[in-house]
Amino acid sequence: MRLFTGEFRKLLGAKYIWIALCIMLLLNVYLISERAKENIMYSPPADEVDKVFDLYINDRADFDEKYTQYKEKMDLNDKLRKEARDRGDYDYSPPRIPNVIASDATSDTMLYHTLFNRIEYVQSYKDEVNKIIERAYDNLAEFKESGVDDSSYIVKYQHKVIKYYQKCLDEVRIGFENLRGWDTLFTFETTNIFIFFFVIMVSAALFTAENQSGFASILRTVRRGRAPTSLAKIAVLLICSASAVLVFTLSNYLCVGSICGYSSEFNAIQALPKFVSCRHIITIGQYFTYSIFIKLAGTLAFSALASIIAISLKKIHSVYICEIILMGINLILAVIEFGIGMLQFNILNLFTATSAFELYMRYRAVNIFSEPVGYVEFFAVSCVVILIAGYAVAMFLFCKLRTVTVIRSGLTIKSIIDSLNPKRIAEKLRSAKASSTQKPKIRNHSLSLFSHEMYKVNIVSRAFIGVVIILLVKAFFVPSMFENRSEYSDSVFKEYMTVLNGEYTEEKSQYIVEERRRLSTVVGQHSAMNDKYLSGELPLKEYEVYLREYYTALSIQDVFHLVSDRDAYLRELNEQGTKADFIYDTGWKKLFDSSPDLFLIAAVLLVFCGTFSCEHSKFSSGGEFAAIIRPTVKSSQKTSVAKYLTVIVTSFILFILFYLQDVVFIASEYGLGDLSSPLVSVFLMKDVNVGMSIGHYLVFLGILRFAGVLTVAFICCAMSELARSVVASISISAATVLLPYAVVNFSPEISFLKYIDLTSLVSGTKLVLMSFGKGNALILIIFLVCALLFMAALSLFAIRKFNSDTVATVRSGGIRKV
Amino acid sequence: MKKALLSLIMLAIMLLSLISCTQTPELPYLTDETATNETKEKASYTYNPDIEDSANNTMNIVSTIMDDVPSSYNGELYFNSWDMLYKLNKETGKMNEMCKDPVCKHDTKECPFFGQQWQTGFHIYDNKIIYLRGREKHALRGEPNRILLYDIENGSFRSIYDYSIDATVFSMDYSFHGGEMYFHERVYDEDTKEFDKYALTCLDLSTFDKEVFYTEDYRKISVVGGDDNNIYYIDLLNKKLCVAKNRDFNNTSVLVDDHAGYFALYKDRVFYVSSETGTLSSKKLDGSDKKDLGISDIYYMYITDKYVYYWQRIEYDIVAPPVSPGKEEQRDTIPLANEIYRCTHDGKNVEVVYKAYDGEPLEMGDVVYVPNMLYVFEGYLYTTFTEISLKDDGTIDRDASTNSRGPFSYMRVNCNTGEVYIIEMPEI
Repeated sequence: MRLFTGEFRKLLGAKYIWIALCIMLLLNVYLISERAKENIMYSPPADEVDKVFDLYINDRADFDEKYTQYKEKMDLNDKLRKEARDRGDYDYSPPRIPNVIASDATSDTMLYHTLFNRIEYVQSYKDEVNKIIERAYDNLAEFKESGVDDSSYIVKYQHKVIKYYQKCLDEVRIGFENLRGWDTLFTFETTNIFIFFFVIMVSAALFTAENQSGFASILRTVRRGRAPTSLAKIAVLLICSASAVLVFTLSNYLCVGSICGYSSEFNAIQALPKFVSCRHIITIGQYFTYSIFIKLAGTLAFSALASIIAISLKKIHSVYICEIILMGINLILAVIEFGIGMLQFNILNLFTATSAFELYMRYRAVNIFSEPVGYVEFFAVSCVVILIAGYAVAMFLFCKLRTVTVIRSGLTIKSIIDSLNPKRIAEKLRSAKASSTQKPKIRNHSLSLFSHEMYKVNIVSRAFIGVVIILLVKAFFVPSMFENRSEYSDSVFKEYMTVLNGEYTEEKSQYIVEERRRLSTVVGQHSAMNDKYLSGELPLKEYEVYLREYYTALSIQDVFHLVSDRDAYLRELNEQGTKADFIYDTGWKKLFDSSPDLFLIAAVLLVFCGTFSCEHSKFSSGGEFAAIIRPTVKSSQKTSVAKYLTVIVTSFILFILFYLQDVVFIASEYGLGDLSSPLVSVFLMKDVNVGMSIGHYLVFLGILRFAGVLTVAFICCAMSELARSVVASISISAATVLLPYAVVNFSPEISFLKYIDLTSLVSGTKLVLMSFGKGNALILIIFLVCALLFMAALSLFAIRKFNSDTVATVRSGGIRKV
Repeated sequence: MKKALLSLIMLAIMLLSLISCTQTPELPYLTDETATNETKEKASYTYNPDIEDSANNTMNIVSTIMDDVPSSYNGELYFNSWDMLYKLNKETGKMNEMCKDPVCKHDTKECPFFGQQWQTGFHIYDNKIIYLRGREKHALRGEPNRILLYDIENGSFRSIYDYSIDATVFSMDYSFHGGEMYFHERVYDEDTKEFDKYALTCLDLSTFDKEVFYTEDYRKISVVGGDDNNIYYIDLLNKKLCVAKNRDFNNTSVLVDDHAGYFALYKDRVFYVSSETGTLSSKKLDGSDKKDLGISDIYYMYITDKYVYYWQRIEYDIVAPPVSPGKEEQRDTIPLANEIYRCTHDGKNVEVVYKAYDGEPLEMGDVVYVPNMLYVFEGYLYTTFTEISLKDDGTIDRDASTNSRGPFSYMRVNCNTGEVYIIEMPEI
């Protein structure tokens, strides 16, 4: 027990793990909240829907009366619409039917639509299951006819399907209620990335700590230094992994619950549309429980594999890289599109299967010696086997492998450059035949202060690992961040803008009017063409040609207002004497109007919150290194300047890396042309009529965003000195930067906070629009000046404190940060 | 520390227990749930494999772009619909999906037949089914972008050609010639930097190498059929049925230059509907021995080794009773095809194979023949009249009066007895 406690205490001392856990938890909360909000965005409010459900169940007579009246009004509107069309009036819109049940937030139509969809779903469940059973019987009949052996896998699979789904048909009863919350909770898979990464960090810290400090060889000589120690470490890893699963699951549950609420957990799992083909007779609550167990199984299996890697490799860099590769392999298996018939790799990998959703949504089986074994059973057993075997191997390796003395590799920027020297390469080739034992390389050169600070901040602190992870996570989310939700309407818009591309002219405006007329004519002719065909006047072939034209025109007509609206906008500008072009501006809109890059902010927080605080950490009983810096030749003042220069350069690199991801994706997806067109050609920027071109604004936006990133970086850097602790500096910096953003987003009524929200500077356009929109252009300048002054003042204060403070703070304990 | 850990574990167990509580509170249930275990009454299905006729020496050419003709291969029948290919179980008369996973809804890319579109058709060659697959579930805009090959013998699939995101197979007019497949596709135009150039393409079915033949306008030719020696195509601009001896299309000759759209080949003769006379005609492939078979208003034609099956368009009368005493009844006619005829290859011995019930107008579509049976696509437009409705001006409202029957179905017509069995396509 003492060994276990000792290992746990050691792990607690690795503060970077717990900081990372907090950041990942916050990120997870943010992401699932966004997902939950997105899912309810297009649905009527849940309480309104509950009202109509209650009415339907409890007071059917009243519901029928209200619905009949509603139907009569809808029929009347249809008749009015038809009459208008017959008159040639294609723009006629009948009067809106006033709500009887719904409030102003939604409409009766939406509520009835939701209700009847649900009724249809519940009532059609048994038919759906019947179809499955019938298809299985049909397949068996066909196999019999073709002479397929009864002992073959495919025949047994059909029998299993019949057995399971017959049971579902007999026993499943779906409760009639308005579902909410559960589908969002069950289908959110991103949490697995954070859990797996936490497991990587814990396993790396647990199994490489002694090698890092050089204590491993001593540990192995003591009585309980092998098997009992390895058991203790494994126990700690297991408990941390399991706790992470529970904590993340609980946070997801609470987040989704607070935004969407939950319907009854006692309803059958088949009540959820995504689980309509689930073959298990369980409730939603039971599925939730089982999903936690599946997640635990998958995570613990991953931890077993991670522990093998950590024990085998010993060096923390290598461990991180290999374990991330292991996680990456699972991620790639989850997302890559394999050839037909290889879906099991997409599902039976640790990443996807741990979510449980894909395992339960329908019956799937693997072929084990011609016997169909369900995915759930297969995965559960596999995880147990991997867990037991994995940890057995890990223990064996821990006990048997000899220790490795950590060599300071002398990896510096100068050494990398030197290694490319041809003379050095020739020398290496000559000595290639020499003895295999390597002497530790002694560092016998010095770096410049700036390059040393760059090395410390980026390499030694291992922040680059976090940055790489964040970049990868962002790459995963970039497609959904900039996805085109109105794909068809946008493609129509793009087609017309491509045809009309260029300066606004009357001819182009006239073309739009005529095109609109043409579409209306084609659609309006439908009845007449149909009559002509039926009377034989129109041959079938010509009628088919017309029908194709009709369907195209019908679908374009619905979205043509986008083109008309753009024409009206450009005409208005033209009348005011402002030049503007027809351009396809979706890409620009996505780029300009993107939310502040929270991934970039997270990376900045991660990289810079240790800039000064690392000097105040205890490395030996002698105290902080800051006390040594002060009396040196390159005094603390020059060191501070070097640190801030490092911050500027590193911020710029980070900014380019993260910004480039967005630009590259948007450019490839939407195109970013028309750089020379006036800025007001982009509808989003209609209020920013300053005579700028899109290209110029792009540069200006880049500068503005970089100024925002730099402000955040300087705040972090300053806080790292003022707080002198990584945990504290991250917390305070995050609060300063993110709290106003969070409050503004979640409680828009507290609007004054938007004027102190630094993320609006990182977003850039938000601030510009605030200034040029309903506000004053001075707002931008004032905001910028205030931010810069705040940044400068904080930084100067921090530098002064670093230079003048003569008291070294003694710190206690913890795993030494290398 | 220990206490905190223990408390945490206890809390977690309590939460989990709460969640997995099996005591079910009252949930409302719908009282009128339907459980359709009953089967619809169908006419009895009999399978008569006796062979009296065959279609071994024939080639029926459909010159429409929407090539949705079902296929017969080695005595088995294959049909297609949205997102699925079907094989007819001759003994039970049921359409079986080619996808053998009964739980699969064919609405994700997991299913080999996802995106297989009704109007693109499929072809069978060398015991393999070749079909197109799109990016979306049976959407007209989801143009096919992948050619798939299903081996009938071992049930394996492979993708034999993947298109880039913007390129598509445009025309579904396929032809097989000497182990190669021809089709039209949209290819990249270097000048416009868009996929808006149409090309005739040849795909080698053994190496799966592709060769593009560019034509200025895809509408110039439409490849409609082929065998090991010839490629049959329609010169759309000049409206001629032509034959090419090789894929360079430089050794060509005109087969029929006055056609109205339907052709069939039997040994050394070509049967066609003449655009001059509107009648069924035939002539030898070298153009000699032209015969007018004396049958007019052909709507669809299909030949076997013994017969020519056809249906003619008729004018079907519909009558609406007077809306009030003293008013006249309303009359109207609609063009329909509801009778299948056959004659011998010389146009003689005309006999009725199938006649719809009086009052049941049918619109019949494409057909495939297996020995003794014709499988005819029906329910194309509408099949029955409901109450005759009048428009405001007093004339008959055809739209309101007709009822389209769905799902789509095939009629299996016994060519000798005229007996009909309806095979319904499964609902999507």
